Amino acid sequence: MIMKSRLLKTVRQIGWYNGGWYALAMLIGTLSRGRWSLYKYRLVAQAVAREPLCRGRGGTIEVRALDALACAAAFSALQRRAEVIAARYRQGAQCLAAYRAGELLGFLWFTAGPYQEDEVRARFVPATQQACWDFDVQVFREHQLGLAFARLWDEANRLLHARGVRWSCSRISAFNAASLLAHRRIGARELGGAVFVRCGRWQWTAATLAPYLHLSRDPASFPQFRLEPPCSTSNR
Amino acid sequence: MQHLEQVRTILGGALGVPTAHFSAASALLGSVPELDSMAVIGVIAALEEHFGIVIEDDDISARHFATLGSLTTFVQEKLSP
Repeated sequence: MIMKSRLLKTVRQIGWYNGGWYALAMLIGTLSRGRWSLYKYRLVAQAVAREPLCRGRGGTIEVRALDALACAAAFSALQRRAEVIAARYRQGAQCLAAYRAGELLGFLWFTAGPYQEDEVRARFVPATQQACWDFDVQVFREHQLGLAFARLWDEANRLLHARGVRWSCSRISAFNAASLLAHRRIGARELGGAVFVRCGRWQWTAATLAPYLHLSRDPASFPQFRLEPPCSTSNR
Repeated sequence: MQHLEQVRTILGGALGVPTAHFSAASALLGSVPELDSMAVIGVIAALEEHFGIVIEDDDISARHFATLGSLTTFVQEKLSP
Protein backbone atom coordinates (compact mmCIF):
# COMPACT_ATOMS: atom_id res chain seq x y z
CA MET A 1 0.00 0.00 0.00
CA ILE A 2 2.84 2.36 0.95
CA MET A 3 4.70 1.35 -2.22
CA LYS A 4 1.60 2.05 -4.34
CA SER A 5 1.05 5.51 -2.85
CA ARG A 6 4.78 6.31 -3.25
CA LEU A 7 4.61 5.19 -6.87
CA LEU A 8 1.50 7.28 -7.63
CA LYS A 9 2.97 10.37 -5.98
CA THR A 10 6.17 10.03 -7.99
CA VAL A 11 4.26 9.44 -11.25
CA ARG A 12 2.23 12.61 -10.63
CA GLN A 13 5.46 14.57 -10.18
CA ILE A 14 7.60 13.18 -13.01
CA GLY A 15 4.93 12.35 -15.59
CA TRP A 16 3.70 9.09 -17.09
CA TYR A 17 6.74 8.37 -19.28
CA ASN A 18 9.35 8.56 -16.54
CA GLY A 19 6.75 7.23 -14.12
CA GLY A 20 6.62 4.05 -16.20
CA TRP A 21 10.39 3.71 -15.93
CA TYR A 22 10.17 4.33 -12.20
CA ALA A 23 7.55 1.58 -11.85
CA LEU A 24 9.81 -0.74 -13.84
CA ALA A 25 12.77 0.13 -11.59
CA MET A 26 10.70 -0.68 -8.51
CA LEU A 27 9.47 -3.92 -10.06
CA ILE A 28 12.98 -5.04 -11.02
CA GLY A 29 14.29 -4.25 -7.55
CA THR A 30 11.42 -6.05 -5.84
CA LEU A 31 11.41 -9.17 -8.03
CA SER A 32 15.19 -9.58 -7.81
CA ARG A 33 15.19 -8.79 -4.07
CA GLY A 34 17.59 -5.93 -4.66
CA ARG A 35 20.07 -7.84 -6.82
CA TRP A 36 19.02 -6.03 -9.99
CA SER A 37 18.51 -2.29 -10.29
CA LEU A 38 17.60 0.26 -12.92
CA TYR A 39 18.82 3.87 -13.05
CA LYS A 40 17.64 6.50 -15.49
CA TYR A 41 19.71 9.66 -15.74
CA ARG A 42 19.23 12.93 -17.55
CA LEU A 43 22.49 14.58 -18.47
CA VAL A 44 22.29 18.37 -18.22
CA ALA A 45 24.45 21.48 -18.31
CA GLN A 46 23.80 24.67 -16.41
CA ALA A 47 25.52 27.97 -17.03
CA VAL A 48 27.96 29.14 -14.37
CA ALA A 49 26.09 32.21 -13.19
CA ARG A 50 27.92 35.47 -12.73
CA GLU A 51 25.07 37.06 -10.81
CA PRO A 52 24.78 35.88 -7.20
CA LEU A 53 21.76 33.68 -6.58
CA CYS A 54 21.56 34.82 -2.95
CA ARG A 55 20.90 38.46 -3.89
CA GLY A 56 22.94 39.64 -0.90
CA ARG A 57 21.39 37.22 1.57
CA GLY A 58 22.90 34.31 3.48
CA GLY A 59 25.76 36.23 5.14
CA THR A 60 25.54 34.01 8.23
CA ILE A 61 26.30 30.92 6.14
CA GLU A 62 29.97 30.17 5.66
CA VAL A 63 31.03 28.10 2.66
CA ARG A 64 34.35 26.26 3.02
CA ALA A 65 36.38 24.19 0.59
CA LEU A 66 37.15 20.96 2.42
CA ASP A 67 40.38 19.04 2.01
CA ALA A 68 40.33 15.25 2.15
CA LEU A 69 40.92 15.15 5.89
CA ALA A 70 38.26 17.72 6.76
CA CYS A 71 35.89 16.03 4.35
CA ALA A 72 36.39 12.63 5.96
CA ALA A 73 35.63 14.15 9.35
CA ALA A 74 32.57 16.05 8.10
CA PHE A 75 31.19 13.05 6.27
CA SER A 76 31.88 10.45 8.94
CA ALA A 77 28.29 10.67 10.19
CA LEU A 78 26.80 10.58 6.70
CA GLN A 79 26.11 7.66 4.43
CA ARG A 80 29.19 8.23 2.34
CA ARG A 81 31.78 5.49 2.48
CA ALA A 82 35.34 6.62 3.23
CA GLU A 83 36.67 4.87 0.11
CA VAL A 84 34.13 6.71 -2.06
CA ILE A 85 35.24 10.05 -0.62
CA ALA A 86 38.91 9.12 -1.11
CA ALA A 87 38.22 8.08 -4.72
CA ARG A 88 36.61 11.45 -5.40
CA TYR A 89 39.69 13.32 -4.19
CA ARG A 90 41.93 11.04 -6.26
CA GLN A 91 39.93 12.16 -9.29
CA GLY A 92 40.71 15.78 -8.43
CA ALA A 93 37.24 16.60 -7.16
CA GLN A 94 36.61 19.46 -4.76
CA CYS A 95 34.01 19.61 -2.02
CA LEU A 96 32.37 22.82 -0.80
CA ALA A 97 30.44 22.64 2.46
CA ALA A 98 28.02 25.18 3.93
CA TYR A 99 28.05 25.83 7.66
CA ARG A 100 26.08 28.04 10.00
CA ALA A 101 27.47 28.46 13.52
CA GLY A 102 29.54 25.32 13.00
CA GLU A 103 26.62 23.19 11.85
CA LEU A 104 26.95 21.46 8.48
CA LEU A 105 23.97 22.45 6.29
CA GLY A 106 24.90 20.85 3.00
CA PHE A 107 27.63 20.28 0.43
CA LEU A 108 28.43 20.31 -3.26
CA TRP A 109 31.10 18.51 -5.26
CA PHE A 110 32.66 19.38 -8.59
CA THR A 111 35.58 18.33 -10.73
CA ALA A 112 37.22 19.78 -13.82
CA GLY A 113 38.22 16.46 -15.28
CA PRO A 114 36.54 13.17 -16.07
CA TYR A 115 34.27 11.87 -13.33
CA GLN A 116 33.98 8.19 -12.53
CA GLU A 117 30.41 7.72 -11.33
CA ASP A 118 30.04 5.79 -8.07
CA GLU A 119 26.39 4.74 -8.43
CA VAL A 120 26.76 2.97 -11.78
CA ARG A 121 29.73 2.04 -13.97
CA ALA A 122 30.18 5.11 -16.16
CA ARG A 123 32.60 7.93 -16.77
CA PHE A 124 31.46 11.43 -17.61
CA VAL A 125 33.92 13.65 -19.42
CA PRO A 126 33.38 17.41 -19.83
CA ALA A 127 34.32 18.03 -23.46
CA THR A 128 36.03 21.38 -22.99
CA GLN A 129 38.00 23.24 -20.34
CA GLN A 130 35.07 25.63 -20.14
CA ALA A 131 32.98 22.89 -18.58
CA CYS A 132 33.15 20.96 -15.32
CA TRP A 133 31.13 18.20 -13.70
CA ASP A 134 29.13 18.71 -10.48
CA PHE A 135 27.75 15.88 -8.39
CA ASP A 136 26.37 14.89 -5.00
CA VAL A 137 24.78 18.26 -4.26
CA GLN A 138 22.82 17.97 -1.07
CA VAL A 139 21.28 20.28 1.52
CA PHE A 140 19.89 18.52 4.57
CA ARG A 141 16.10 18.38 4.79
CA GLU A 142 15.78 20.76 7.75
CA HIS A 143 17.76 23.43 5.88
CA GLN A 144 16.31 22.98 2.41
CA LEU A 145 14.13 26.06 2.61
CA GLY A 146 17.04 28.26 3.64
CA LEU A 147 19.89 29.83 1.73
CA ALA A 148 22.45 27.03 1.93
CA PHE A 149 21.80 25.78 -1.61
CA ALA A 150 22.14 29.25 -3.12
CA ARG A 151 25.24 30.05 -1.04
CA LEU A 152 26.91 26.81 -2.15
CA TRP A 153 26.23 27.55 -5.80
CA ASP A 154 27.31 31.18 -5.44
CA GLU A 155 30.68 30.07 -4.07
CA ALA A 156 31.04 27.30 -6.65
CA ASN A 157 30.15 29.70 -9.46
CA ARG A 158 32.66 32.26 -8.18
CA LEU A 159 35.47 29.69 -8.10
CA LEU A 160 34.55 28.14 -11.44
CA HIS A 161 34.11 31.45 -13.24
CA ALA A 162 37.55 32.58 -12.05
CA ARG A 163 38.99 29.42 -13.67
CA GLY A 164 37.27 30.14 -16.96
CA VAL A 165 34.58 27.52 -16.50
CA ARG A 166 31.26 28.58 -18.02
CA TRP A 167 29.17 25.40 -17.81
CA SER A 168 28.66 22.80 -15.15
CA CYS A 169 27.41 19.42 -16.33
CA SER A 170 25.72 16.84 -14.15
CA ARG A 171 23.44 13.85 -14.16
CA ILE A 172 20.03 13.95 -12.50
CA SER A 173 17.91 10.95 -11.71
CA ALA A 174 14.84 11.06 -13.96
CA PHE A 175 12.94 9.91 -10.87
CA ASN A 176 13.94 12.87 -8.69
CA ALA A 177 11.18 15.46 -9.25
CA ALA A 178 12.66 18.06 -6.91
CA SER A 179 16.06 17.96 -8.60
CA LEU A 180 14.53 18.09 -12.09
CA LEU A 181 12.50 21.13 -11.13
CA ALA A 182 15.44 22.86 -9.43
CA HIS A 183 17.62 22.37 -12.52
CA ARG A 184 14.84 23.61 -14.81
CA ARG A 185 14.51 26.72 -12.63
CA ILE A 186 18.19 27.59 -13.03
CA GLY A 187 17.97 27.12 -16.78
CA ALA A 188 19.74 23.78 -17.15
CA ARG A 189 19.95 22.48 -20.73
CA GLU A 190 19.46 18.84 -21.52
CA LEU A 191 22.44 17.12 -23.19
CA GLY A 192 21.08 13.59 -23.28
CA GLY A 193 19.96 10.69 -21.18
CA ALA A 194 21.05 7.21 -20.17
CA VAL A 195 19.48 4.10 -18.67
CA PHE A 196 21.56 1.63 -16.70
CA VAL A 197 20.37 -1.83 -15.68
CA ARG A 198 22.60 -3.63 -13.21
CA CYS A 199 22.15 -7.39 -12.88
CA GLY A 200 24.68 -8.72 -10.44
CA ARG A 201 28.11 -8.16 -12.03
CA TRP A 202 26.67 -7.21 -15.41
CA GLN A 203 25.49 -3.79 -16.42
CA TRP A 204 23.61 -2.86 -19.58
CA THR A 205 23.60 0.75 -20.72
CA ALA A 206 21.43 2.47 -23.33
CA ALA A 207 22.02 6.17 -23.93
CA THR A 208 21.18 8.96 -26.35
CA LEU A 209 24.90 9.88 -26.46
CA ALA A 210 27.83 7.81 -27.74
CA PRO A 211 28.56 4.97 -27.13
CA TYR A 212 24.74 4.55 -27.14
CA LEU A 213 24.85 0.88 -26.09
CA HIS A 214 27.27 -0.82 -23.75
CA LEU A 215 27.57 -4.06 -21.83
CA SER A 216 29.87 -4.18 -18.85
CA ARG A 217 30.77 -7.53 -17.32
CA ASP A 218 33.24 -6.23 -14.72
CA PRO A 219 34.15 -2.93 -12.98
CA ALA A 220 37.01 -2.24 -15.38
CA SER A 221 34.58 -1.91 -18.27
CA PHE A 222 32.32 1.12 -18.44
CA PRO A 223 30.81 3.50 -21.01
CA GLN A 224 32.43 6.91 -21.31
CA PHE A 225 30.18 9.86 -22.12
CA ARG A 226 31.66 13.01 -23.60
CA LEU A 227 29.53 15.98 -22.58
CA GLU A 228 29.44 18.89 -24.94
CA PRO A 229 27.87 21.93 -23.27
CA PRO A 230 25.95 24.39 -25.45
CA CYS A 231 28.53 26.36 -27.41
CA SER A 232 26.29 29.25 -28.42
CA THR A 233 26.96 30.95 -25.10
CA SER A 234 30.53 29.85 -24.59
CA ASN A 235 31.66 33.45 -24.31
CA ARG A 236 29.46 34.19 -21.32
CA MET B 1 -7.65 37.95 5.96
CA GLN B 2 -6.04 41.25 5.03
CA HIS B 3 -3.44 41.15 2.24
CA LEU B 4 -4.32 37.54 1.34
CA GLU B 5 -5.19 38.46 -2.23
CA GLN B 6 -1.94 40.38 -2.74
CA VAL B 7 0.22 37.65 -1.23
CA ARG B 8 -1.55 35.07 -3.41
CA THR B 9 -0.88 37.11 -6.55
CA ILE B 10 2.77 37.71 -5.62
CA LEU B 11 3.28 34.04 -4.88
CA GLY B 12 1.78 33.01 -8.21
CA GLY B 13 3.93 35.51 -10.07
CA ALA B 14 7.14 34.52 -8.33
CA LEU B 15 6.59 30.80 -8.76
CA GLY B 16 5.00 30.97 -12.20
CA VAL B 17 2.07 28.82 -11.16
CA PRO B 18 -1.68 29.54 -11.06
CA THR B 19 -2.71 30.37 -7.49
CA ALA B 20 -6.20 31.82 -8.04
CA HIS B 21 -7.76 28.79 -6.37
CA PHE B 22 -5.52 28.97 -3.29
CA SER B 23 -7.24 29.68 0.03
CA ALA B 24 -5.67 30.63 3.36
CA ALA B 25 -5.59 26.93 4.25
CA SER B 26 -3.81 25.87 1.05
CA ALA B 27 -0.59 24.07 1.93
CA LEU B 28 2.54 25.50 0.28
CA LEU B 29 5.70 23.79 1.49
CA GLY B 30 5.72 20.17 0.41
CA SER B 31 2.57 20.63 -1.69
CA VAL B 32 3.72 23.16 -4.26
CA PRO B 33 6.76 21.51 -5.92
CA GLU B 34 7.85 24.84 -7.42
CA LEU B 35 8.43 26.25 -3.93
CA ASP B 36 12.05 25.27 -3.34
CA SER B 37 14.83 27.22 -1.69
CA MET B 38 15.69 29.13 -4.87
CA ALA B 39 12.06 30.06 -5.39
CA VAL B 40 11.75 31.22 -1.79
CA ILE B 41 14.43 33.85 -2.44
CA GLY B 42 12.32 35.18 -5.30
CA VAL B 43 9.12 35.17 -3.24
CA ILE B 44 10.83 37.01 -0.36
CA ALA B 45 12.27 39.63 -2.72
CA ALA B 46 8.85 40.16 -4.32
CA LEU B 47 7.13 40.52 -0.93
CA GLU B 48 9.79 42.99 0.26
CA GLU B 49 9.41 45.08 -2.86
CA HIS B 50 5.61 45.06 -2.93
CA PHE B 51 5.00 45.73 0.77
CA GLY B 52 8.14 47.76 1.53
CA ILE B 53 9.15 45.42 4.32
CA VAL B 54 12.49 43.93 5.32
CA ILE B 55 12.68 40.18 5.77
CA GLU B 56 15.75 38.88 7.61
CA ASP B 57 17.42 35.60 6.71
CA ASP B 58 16.38 34.17 10.08
CA ASP B 59 12.73 34.86 9.20
CA ILE B 60 12.89 32.35 6.36
CA SER B 61 11.39 29.34 8.07
CA ALA B 62 9.16 26.44 7.12
CA ARG B 63 6.59 27.72 9.64
CA HIS B 64 5.94 30.88 7.62
CA PHE B 65 5.74 28.99 4.33
CA ALA B 66 3.43 26.24 5.60
CA THR B 67 0.24 27.67 4.09
CA LEU B 68 -0.88 30.75 2.19
CA GLY B 69 -2.52 31.88 5.43
CA SER B 70 0.67 31.55 7.48
CA LEU B 71 2.63 33.46 4.85
CA THR B 72 0.01 36.22 4.85
CA THR B 73 0.06 36.38 8.66
CA PHE B 74 3.84 36.70 8.52
CA VAL B 75 3.55 39.63 6.09
CA GLN B 76 0.92 41.26 8.29
CA GLU B 77 3.19 40.98 11.31
CA LYS B 78 5.97 42.63 9.36
CA LEU B 79 3.65 45.46 8.33
CA SER B 80 2.45 46.12 11.86
CA PRO B 81 5.22 45.08 14.25
